[in-house]
Amino acid sequence: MNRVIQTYNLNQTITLSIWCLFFITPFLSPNIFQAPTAVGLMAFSTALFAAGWMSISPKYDAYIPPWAWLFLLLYLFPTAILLLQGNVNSPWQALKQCIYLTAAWLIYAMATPQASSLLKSPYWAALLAIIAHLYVIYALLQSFDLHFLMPDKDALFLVWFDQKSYYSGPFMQRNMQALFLLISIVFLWLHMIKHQYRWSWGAATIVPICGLLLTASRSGILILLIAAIIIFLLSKDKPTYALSVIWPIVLAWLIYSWILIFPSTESTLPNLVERVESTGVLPRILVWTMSLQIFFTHPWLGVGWGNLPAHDMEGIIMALDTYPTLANIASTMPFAHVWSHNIILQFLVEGGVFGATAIAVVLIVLFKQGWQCLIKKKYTDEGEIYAWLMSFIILTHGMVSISVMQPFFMALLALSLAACFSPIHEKS
Amino acid sequence: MKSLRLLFFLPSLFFICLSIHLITASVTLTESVKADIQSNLFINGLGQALDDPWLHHSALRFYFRKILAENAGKSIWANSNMFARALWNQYQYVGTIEIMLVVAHAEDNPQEELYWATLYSKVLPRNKHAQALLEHALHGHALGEPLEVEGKW
Repeated sequence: MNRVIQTYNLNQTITLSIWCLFFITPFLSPNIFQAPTAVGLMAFSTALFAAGWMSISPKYDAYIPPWAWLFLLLYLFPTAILLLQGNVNSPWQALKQCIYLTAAWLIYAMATPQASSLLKSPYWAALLAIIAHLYVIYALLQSFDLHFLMPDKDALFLVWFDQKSYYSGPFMQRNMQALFLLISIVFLWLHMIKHQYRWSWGAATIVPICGLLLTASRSGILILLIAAIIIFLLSKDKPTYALSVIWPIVLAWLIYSWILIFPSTESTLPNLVERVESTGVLPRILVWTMSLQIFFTHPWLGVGWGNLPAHDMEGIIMALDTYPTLANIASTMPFAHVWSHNIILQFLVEGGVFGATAIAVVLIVLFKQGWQCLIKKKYTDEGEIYAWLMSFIILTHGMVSISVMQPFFMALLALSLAACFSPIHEKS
Repeated sequence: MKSLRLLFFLPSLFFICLSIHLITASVTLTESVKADIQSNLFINGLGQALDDPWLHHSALRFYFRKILAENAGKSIWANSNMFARALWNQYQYVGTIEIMLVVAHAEDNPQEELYWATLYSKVLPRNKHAQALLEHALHGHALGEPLEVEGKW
C-alpha cells in the first residue's frame, strides 16, 4: 500500500513539474517573426507531454464520453469538406487550426485519468500562485523599459527586451495576463475555503490581484467578481469567506494605488477607471457584426478554420453597409481581424452550423455539470467544482476575448474539461 | 504492453519537432531577408520559406516589406502580382489592399488601381490617406503622379 502511495506521489510530482514547464513556455518566446506560433507549438508540446504522462496513471483508465467524440467530429467535418472541395482561401491556416484543436482534444483525452486529482491538489494551486507571482513581477519590470541582457536585435527571447506593451506579462497581451491571474486567484480562494480560511491562502492572492488591476482588463475584473460571487454561494461560512476575500483585495488596491503615484507609471499605466468609462466596446461590436455578416454568407460549412482574416474585407464592407454608424470605428482599425473576440462567433464564422453545434455541445454539457455541482450539489469530489470553475472562467473570458483560441489557454481548457467530465474508472 | 504506453508521447514528439523546425527555418528566413534582393542568399532563403507551409505567410510579408524598403523598381513590383494575390487570399486588411494598389500602379493598370483604391476608401471611409489614394487612382495616375503609400505591412 505504501509503495502504491509513494508511486502515486512521485507520479504527481512529475506531472506538476511538466505543467510547471508548460507555464514557463511564454518566457521562451523566441525572437523570430513567427514568435506567437512558435510559443504556441511549445505550449502544446509540453501540455501534450504532461497529458501523455497523466495517461499512464497506475490507478485509472482514460475515459472519453460520447459528446467529446461528437465535438471532434463536428469540428473537423466542415473544414474537411471545404478542403476536399478546394474551397478554402488559405488551406494551410485551416489545417493548422485543425492540428491545434486536435492537439487540445488529445490533451483532454489523455489527461482524464489524473486531471481531477491534479486540479484539486493544493500543490497545483501553489504552483499557479508561484507562476502568477512570476508573471506579475515580469509585468512590473516591463514598465521600467528594461532591456534585460542585450540589445533588441541580439536577444534570444522576446521577453528579454521591452515590447512596449506594459503590464502585459510574458503573453505580451494584457487580457491574457489577466485571465491567467484570474485562474490562479480563484484556485487560491477555493483552497482558502477548503483549509478553514487559513490566512496564508488569502495572502497569496494579494500580488495576483494587484497584477490583475495593473492589466486594467475589464473582462478580467468582471469575471473575477462573478467567480467571487459563485464561490461565496458555495462557501459554508459566508461571513468568514467574505472577510478572507476582501482584506487581500483592499491591500492589493492600496499597493496598486501606491504604484500609480510613481511619475514613471503615468504614461505607461492603463487607467482602469478610464478603460471602464471609455467606449472601448465599439471595436468589439464592429468585429462581432463583421463575423455575423460573414457567417450569413457562409452559413453551413463556414469559411474554414483560421480563415477569418481571409474574408475580413467582405465582412467589413457588409457590416458598414448594414451599420454605417460603425464607419468611425472602422477607420481607426487598419489591421486584419484574425479573431472574432467571441468563441461562439468564431465557431459560427469558421465552422458554420456544424462548428456552432460543436461549441454548443461543450457549453450545454458544461451548463448541465454546473447545475449538478452548484445547484443540486451532486458531485463525486471537489476536483469537479474546481475544474468547472476553471472551464467557466476560460470560456466566459472567450466570449469577449481571443484568449481561448490561443494554444496556451486551449491546453488549460482541455485539462479543466478533462477533470470536469471524466468519472474516474478504476483499472480492472 | 508497457512499450505501447510510449505511444502516448508521440503527439508531444510531433509538436517538439514542429517547434524546432519552425524556429530554425524562421531564423534562416530572418538572416536571408537581410541580404540584397538580387543575391542568391535572399532568393534561395525566400524561396525555401515560401515553400514551407509554416512560413509561407511570413515570407510573403517579409518579401513586400523588403522590396518597399529597398525601393525596388517598377518591374519587380509588376512581377510580384502572384505573390500579392497569394497574400490577399490569406490576409485581407488595408495593408494588403495597399500592396495590391502598388502592384496595379506598377503594372500601369488604372482599372485595377481604381478597384483597390475604392475598396480601401470603403473599408476606411473617414481616413484621409484613403481619400488620397482614391484621388490618385481617379486623376493622379493619368497625370503621372507617384503613388504615396503608408507601407505599414
